[in-house]
Amino acid sequence: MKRYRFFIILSLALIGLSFIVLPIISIIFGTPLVSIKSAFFDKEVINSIILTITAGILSTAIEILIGVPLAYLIVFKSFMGKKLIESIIDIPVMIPHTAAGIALLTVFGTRGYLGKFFSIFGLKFVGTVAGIVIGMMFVSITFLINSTKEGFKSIDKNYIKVAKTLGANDFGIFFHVIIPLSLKDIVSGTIMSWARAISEFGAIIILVYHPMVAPVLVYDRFTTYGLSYSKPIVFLIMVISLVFFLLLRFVSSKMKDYNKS
Amino acid sequence: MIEIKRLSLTAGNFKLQNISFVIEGYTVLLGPTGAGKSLLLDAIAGLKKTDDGDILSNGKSIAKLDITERGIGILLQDGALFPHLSVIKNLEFPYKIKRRKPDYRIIKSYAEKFKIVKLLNRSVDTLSGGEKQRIALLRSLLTNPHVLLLDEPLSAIDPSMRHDMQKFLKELKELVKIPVLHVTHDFEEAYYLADTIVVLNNGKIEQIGCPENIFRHPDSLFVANFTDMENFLPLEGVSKNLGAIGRTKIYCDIDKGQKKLFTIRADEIIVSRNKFRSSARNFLSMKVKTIRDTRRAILLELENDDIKLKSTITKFSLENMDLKEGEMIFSVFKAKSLHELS
Repeated sequence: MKRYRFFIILSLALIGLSFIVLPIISIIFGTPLVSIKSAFFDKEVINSIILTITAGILSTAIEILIGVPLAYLIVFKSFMGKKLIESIIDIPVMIPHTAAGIALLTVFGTRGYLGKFFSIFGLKFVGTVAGIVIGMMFVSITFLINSTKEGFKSIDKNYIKVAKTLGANDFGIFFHVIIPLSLKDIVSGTIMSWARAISEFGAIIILVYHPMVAPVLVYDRFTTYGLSYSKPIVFLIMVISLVFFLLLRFVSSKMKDYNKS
Repeated sequence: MIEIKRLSLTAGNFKLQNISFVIEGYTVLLGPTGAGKSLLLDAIAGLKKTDDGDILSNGKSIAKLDITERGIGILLQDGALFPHLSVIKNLEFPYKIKRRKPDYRIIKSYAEKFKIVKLLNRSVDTLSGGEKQRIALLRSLLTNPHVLLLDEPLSAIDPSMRHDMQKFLKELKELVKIPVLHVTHDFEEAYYLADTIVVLNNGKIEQIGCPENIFRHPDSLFVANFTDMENFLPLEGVSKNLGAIGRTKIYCDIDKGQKKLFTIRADEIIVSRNKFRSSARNFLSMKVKTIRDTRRAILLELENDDIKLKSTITKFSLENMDLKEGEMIFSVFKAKSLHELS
């Protein structure tokens, strides 16, 4: 009976794993080497992958700059409307991303409030890299903020208490106590956020069709030339993403989780 | 010297009311869980805002000052050493946070006094509870505080190491020469360490005094119970200086018709097989109900028809008297040893 139960659990687990693995295997083994090679030397493909990765890095860097202080305020300060703000932060992961693109267009488009404001400084968001970064940020910042919040929440408040008695002000506590103690969570949030950013399609395509990020290029090649032309790009994106993630996960795993030890 | 004057503060439904005492020498704030000890400590440190009252440090009010300007060093239960920093980096923290160069001469001098020189390059997670406490204490002293606040400093230490740490804290006042306020719920710890004990219960001070005074002469039923008072005698005066429970008459400070509750420590009651000439006026014939070895002494539970008393004697006395349970003996104590509870 015990074996029978274990068999059911194992079967369900294998179905779950296959669900993820099969499409990946299908791309890896179903893409001819020749077409992978030609995609590798296709300037448009390589440029779009470089653009995706760099725009992802840029958006994540900006998210760290604005998301970590926001998480700090939410966790360590009391103010009216905190719960509302926390709910608002979760919205980007709940709404369809094309809807997110439309929402961004109303703000950052040529007739949007911020679009008009930034155009004074020559910064435009429609059809530009800045638009890609904005689209990526909108859909991924929630992951960074929430992971950072969890890290901040798990810090033993006694460290902050003691730091104050040792002469640290809020700024000193933030940089010398809070950030180092929750670095692992911030890095985890950064990885998740970057992953979400480079995979974004819906929000970006509304704001920026050209220059094409990798997900848009895949869509473009698929609708214009068919499946066989889009598969090599998907293959390259998968391999590059996997290498990046393994590297980041390795770095993250080497970091100590002070709040759990 | 730190003087707390009529300090009051509210935290949710809990209130600290009209707290006044002086932190001088080694003062222990004693009370059960939920008495408000840690809240009071936070208020003195400046971590909690007070509703009323003042805190004076060497005569100057510090109640309105920011925590970083109060000149207070704090040691928490587990030391709260920063786990991302090594021991030496923890000790450099008070300097670096103020953008000052660490004074390694002072660090080394304290490290020698605290016997932690060998630990300076260690990682925090390799230290024992006692080592963590010593280093955290040293770290708090590097800010040159006017007073040290120790919040249950022995509670996170392995029982086998607790005695060493207690000895270390006993020597602390000689080492640092600043007033110390030590918070604990453990009366024995307080008795061993304190010059003065402040007993706190439910947000109010119950009694302030030297350990011996708190132990022998509790002001209230709470303090008597909290310090494990062994004997309570509710007496009614039958004549001047003579009280009674049932048919048992006891000499004490009472007037006819008065009702008073007296306490007496078990070590102030001696036992004898015979009546003897003594300055003690109370000789009560009682039966030995139980004889218990409590490791430190032998505890005798005595009873007659009206009262039960506990007395402690040495193992040697027990063997010498060859006492057995069920035997009749005299319990002997002085009228002056009976302490009236207010």
